[in-house]
Amino acid sequence: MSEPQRHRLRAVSSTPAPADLGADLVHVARGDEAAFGRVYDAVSAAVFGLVRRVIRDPARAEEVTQEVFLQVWQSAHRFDPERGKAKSWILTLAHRRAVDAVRHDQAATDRDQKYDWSGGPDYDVVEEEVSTTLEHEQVRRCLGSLTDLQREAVGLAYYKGHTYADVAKLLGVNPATVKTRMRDGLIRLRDCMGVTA
Amino acid sequence: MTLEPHNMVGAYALDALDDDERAEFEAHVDRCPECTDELVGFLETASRLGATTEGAPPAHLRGQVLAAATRTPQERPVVLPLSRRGRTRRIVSRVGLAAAAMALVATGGLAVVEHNQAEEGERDLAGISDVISADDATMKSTQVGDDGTAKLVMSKDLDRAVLVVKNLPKLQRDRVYQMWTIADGKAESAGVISASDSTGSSSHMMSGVSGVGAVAITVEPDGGSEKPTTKPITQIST
Repeated sequence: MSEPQRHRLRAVSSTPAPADLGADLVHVARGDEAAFGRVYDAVSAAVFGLVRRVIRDPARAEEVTQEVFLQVWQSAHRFDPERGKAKSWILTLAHRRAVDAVRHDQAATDRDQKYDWSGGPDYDVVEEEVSTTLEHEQVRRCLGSLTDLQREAVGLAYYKGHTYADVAKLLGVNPATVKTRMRDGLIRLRDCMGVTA
Repeated sequence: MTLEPHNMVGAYALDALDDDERAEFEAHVDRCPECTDELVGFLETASRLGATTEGAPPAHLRGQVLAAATRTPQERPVVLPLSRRGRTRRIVSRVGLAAAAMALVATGGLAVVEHNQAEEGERDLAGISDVISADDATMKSTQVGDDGTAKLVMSKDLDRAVLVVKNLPKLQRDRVYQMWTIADGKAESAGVISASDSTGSSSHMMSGVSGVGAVAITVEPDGGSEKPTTKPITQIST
């Protein structure tokens, strides 16, 4: 097994302006297949990158990525351009689906046995073929501003697909505390990233 | 608003609730404007955590996804009364969407993909997706031959089932596959699978399945039989 490589920061130039993506998604809602192709081109690397990070298995990640895009196609009318960014909407869907797939598969294999989570999640180590985005530096900095418990609670849930109850077990902390740390951790991240809701 | 569900906003946005808690929270958020406001910001924040790494999917996936979309009917927008529109409603629909996505995964989203490769009438497509996305849908799968599969997606609520077959073993020219529903020891034909459908992937809708104990596939003479004349190559109990 090859050792995970420490990535270098690379700018990703393929990301289009969010406004275009939002407009395309509105067209997709009307059945515009060409617009759907543009949406795929714009966010497939982000979707696959996220899904693979959660799921690990590339073949399974490919399946789930396809499901995510079909969901985008079927329910694009639910996207409200006034309410949020198109890319966030798609990544929210992708994450939910990846997490559900991981939990579903977990019934067959005991994932916790395979995980090396000791020492907490390592946000810098990613698979070789995955490149980082411009957002990465900011996220890294903001994660660094959290307490250890907040960061581990958020990271184990978001990047590994654990429920807060699992996270509590993994960290040996009360579940109620984990829930609270997830919430106040997200508040701190939101403010650090300058997200305006 | 009680403190407990509100405290779940963070875990919800990170997809860290189990299915029951998720449903509980989604019911709660409908009546909780504070949760809604916080949730919008949290979802955006979480999605930025997810936007830190990119990896191009295999090149063949693009064509596969676009072809599948072409054959997949889109949801019709639900038109809400004006009085119910607004901020809360919008976020709820976002939440509802995620729940719908979950249901599809749990009940075999893969079947959707496969059925899209089949040549089906539009009406069948809509009916099939109803079954697959039904809340109570269950999926069972068996292997047929070396690399064939048969998957049965069933909704008791809709009283319908969809049998998805793929790569069935090749038959002699004068033979076809025939599907049967087994109830009270009797086999009733559920139609034949055409030669072109049996080599690729195809989906077959069955209605009135509430009393059915199993679905079976047999090899029959061209045109099908009134009763099974051979032993099933596969049987899936419901």
